[in-house]
Amino acid sequence: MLAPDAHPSLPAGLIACHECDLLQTEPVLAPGETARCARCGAFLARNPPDSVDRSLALSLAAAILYLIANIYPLVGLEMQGQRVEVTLAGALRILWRDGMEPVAALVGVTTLVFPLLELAMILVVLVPLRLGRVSPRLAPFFRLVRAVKPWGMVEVFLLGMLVSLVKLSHLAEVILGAAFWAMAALIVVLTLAGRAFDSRLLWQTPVVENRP
Amino acid sequence: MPELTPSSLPAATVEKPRRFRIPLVWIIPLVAALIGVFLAARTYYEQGPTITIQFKTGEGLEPGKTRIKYKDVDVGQIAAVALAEDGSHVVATARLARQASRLLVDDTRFWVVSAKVSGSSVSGLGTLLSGAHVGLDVGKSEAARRNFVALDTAPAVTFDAPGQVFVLQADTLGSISAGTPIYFRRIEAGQVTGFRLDEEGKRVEVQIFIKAPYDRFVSADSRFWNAGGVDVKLGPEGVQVNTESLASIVAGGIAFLTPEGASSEPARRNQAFRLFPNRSEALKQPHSQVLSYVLRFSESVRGLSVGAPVDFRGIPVGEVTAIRPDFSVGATDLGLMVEVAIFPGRMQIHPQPGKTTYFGKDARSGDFRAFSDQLVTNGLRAQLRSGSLVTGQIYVALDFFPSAKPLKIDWKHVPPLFPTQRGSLDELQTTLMRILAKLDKLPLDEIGQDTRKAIASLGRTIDEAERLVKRLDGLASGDVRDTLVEARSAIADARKLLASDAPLQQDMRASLQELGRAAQALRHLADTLDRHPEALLRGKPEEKP
Amino acid sequence: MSRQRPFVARQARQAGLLNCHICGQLSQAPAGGGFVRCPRCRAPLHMRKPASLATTWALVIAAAILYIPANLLPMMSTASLLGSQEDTIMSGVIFLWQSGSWPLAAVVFFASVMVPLLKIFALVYLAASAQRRSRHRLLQRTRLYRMVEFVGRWSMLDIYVITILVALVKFQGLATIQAGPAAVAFGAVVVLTMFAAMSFDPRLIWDPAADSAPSLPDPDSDHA
Repeated sequence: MLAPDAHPSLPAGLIACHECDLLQTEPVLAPGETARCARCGAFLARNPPDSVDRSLALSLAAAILYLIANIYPLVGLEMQGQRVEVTLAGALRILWRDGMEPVAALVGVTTLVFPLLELAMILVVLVPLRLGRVSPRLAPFFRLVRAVKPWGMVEVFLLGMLVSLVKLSHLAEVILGAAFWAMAALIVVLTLAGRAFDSRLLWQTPVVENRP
Repeated sequence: MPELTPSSLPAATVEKPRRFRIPLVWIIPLVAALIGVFLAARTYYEQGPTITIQFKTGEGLEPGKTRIKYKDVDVGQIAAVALAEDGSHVVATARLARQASRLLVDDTRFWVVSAKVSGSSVSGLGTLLSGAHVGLDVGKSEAARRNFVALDTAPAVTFDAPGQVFVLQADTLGSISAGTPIYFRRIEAGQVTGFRLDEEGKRVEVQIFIKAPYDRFVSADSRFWNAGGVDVKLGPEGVQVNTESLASIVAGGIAFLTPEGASSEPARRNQAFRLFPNRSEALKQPHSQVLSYVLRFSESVRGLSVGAPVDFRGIPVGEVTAIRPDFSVGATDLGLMVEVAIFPGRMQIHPQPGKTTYFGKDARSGDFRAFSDQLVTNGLRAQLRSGSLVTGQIYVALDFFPSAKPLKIDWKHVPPLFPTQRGSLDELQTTLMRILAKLDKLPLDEIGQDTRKAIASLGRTIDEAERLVKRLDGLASGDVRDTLVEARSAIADARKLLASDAPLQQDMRASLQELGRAAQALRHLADTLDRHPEALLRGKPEEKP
Repeated sequence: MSRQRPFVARQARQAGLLNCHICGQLSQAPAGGGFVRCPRCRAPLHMRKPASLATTWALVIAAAILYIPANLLPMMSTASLLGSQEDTIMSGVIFLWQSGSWPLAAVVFFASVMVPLLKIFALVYLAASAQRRSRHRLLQRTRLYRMVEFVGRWSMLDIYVITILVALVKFQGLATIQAGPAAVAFGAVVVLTMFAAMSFDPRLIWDPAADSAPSLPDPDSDHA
């Protein structure tokens, strides 16, 4: 059941901080500006320039980089003439085979599934937006993005990989694969894409409402 | 409800410029896409051929890990290992680098390289640490090929090794196996690559590979022999110990040499040679000319064996081929016929001064017979001689005996009967026996008795003379007494000399006793020598009860 | 945070408004309570996160319990020619420190040992102070909450280190590494603390302050 709309006497642009619940008005943001809560400083909204274009471009780049990061080997180790190279999926398979299924599942979810989901959903939401066609059916996808976002930990994974590589560099020769660099670039691009997106765009574009 | 004071200003609308401007940010995905395409293209371009190799087992093959190496350089990797449908072998799929595609020709061979320790070589120890890898030997064919059957073991010889292959034929394999080294003047010159039984199962054919530059020393006349282990020979020449190398003692080995005077024209590929059991067998001359004779001995031929050499003043000129008793009718006593084979090729003859000839090549029956007769007339005989006093072996010696009885070669006998001479040891024995017989015949007892009687009567005579002199002493005067006194002292001296305990008598008796003992000892010696000729050297063997 | 001119602090709850956490749309809470969706984006609306404190407590306690085996059990076992060795998180840190890469040791120590512990303590403090309806240090506690949320994911560092090590060091005969049972426990700790942070409603920090002011009768009855 839909809640009735806000009180009509409420001025439009009224928002509540999601961290301290303070009611405040939403300011008009010039391109590049960010709105923060008046009381607790929580981030409220931003107005990135060329938001849709940027987000879409960066997300597409992120998708390509994600592909590269999964197809090619991440790192390789060379010891005594023996070389071992591993892709992300390969590493997970090894963990699974070793009997560490829960850990493999956790790692897989946080580095493979959720980032992929996040990317896919972003694209699903952004492409129609760019093309100017928005429908309420997009909303659940966006909710999915928001739900999944905290669980995509690719940047932590990269740092973890770096730590283990430094640990191993005493032991053997470390070879950084194409996927390693792709993943580093992926993190950067994803972060930029997140910053480039103004979520208010979704709701501010004229929506064809379908009220039952 | 408390009042909510709006503090917002009317929001100004921002016009988005509607020009079809592509923001710069689109460069980023473009770049990413380009990178992706570039990587994909590079991977695709660098992708080498995919081949399948059949192995007997998947041992050592790990999909995604095992590498293929050529001359120790990585050229590919095993991608997948699967069992064949009928389960009889394992099929491995391998991906090779692009540069390696020209290595995949029709006779290229693959095998699994793992640590191998064999008697003569240790290899591949690095694989213990790093895991097995697949070795590759590029063939010489021009035809490309993508499906291979792997070898079971590393090939003994790779295609690019310079050298030549030959075949050896042997009765038994002995200690030879694939990899057995082949030596030339104690240098390892090659190895056995394989062997198989011939169709009738009578001989073993051993394939060998002699590497360059030793292969040009293999001529059509080269001799190969089994040089493995330690070759100890106990023969008339004495004890001989022969070995090629430490490795060959353990692992077996084959050696080869081209004999002196043989042709040095290099042998052709896959030429067959006979594999002799040892060096001396191998280096015996090829005997195109073999003359057989038979020798008749009436003395013991104990110690003579088939194969014993026939020697001419130290040079082997033949060998004994058979020994049998003589059953010919009309023989005066049972003798032994020793058949010998003479190789005239060994002898260099000067039938005419200034002209040297090898009998093997120039002998014609008539000339040779005449020449042999001449030699025999000059005293050439065959004699049994002791070859080794240690082993008691004897051999046949040809030598000139100027004082020998005149004999002739009996050419009518088949094979011709060559005159013989009694052996020197035998002569010694015979002579000793004769001396002993003579000594035996001496009536030593009688002589002793006679001597004793003679001495006794002599003693009596001297006693009588003494009595006479005593009588005379009473009668005779001073001169006569002096003379008589002198005579008496002389007689006393004589008696002393002839007394039974007189030194002379004792000496004579002692001497006779000695002689008797000597004769006995000599007889014993002759007896012993007859039974154990080696006693001359070794001493008397223990008397067995 | 920019302090503008002093204003009257009003919370949406006091005004009976529901704030959509997805699209930010404020909407009227229904008089009788019940399940409602946002008019704009159709997300489920709650005045406060449902059963926030209870869920947070449960998850934090579970994480604290699992923290013990995560540190005592071996995280990974290394088998090499020199023998096999089992490492806990702490021994891994010590090894890094002793082998000279002390920045790495510091990073791993911080991320894998300190952060989960601090998170647990922080969450306990937040939950306890919210439960006691403390009105002190509201801003600091909010900042603490933000920190906890931000930092949470970085505890996964050690798990990823293990993943890479296990996957790479697979040289039969020379060295192999296998993950140990502590990895599962540690992963669970991270997940639990993340859920705990997600289930804690930071607005609960500010509620006691607003409640002390005269306000409407509470229309939402389903908050802890």
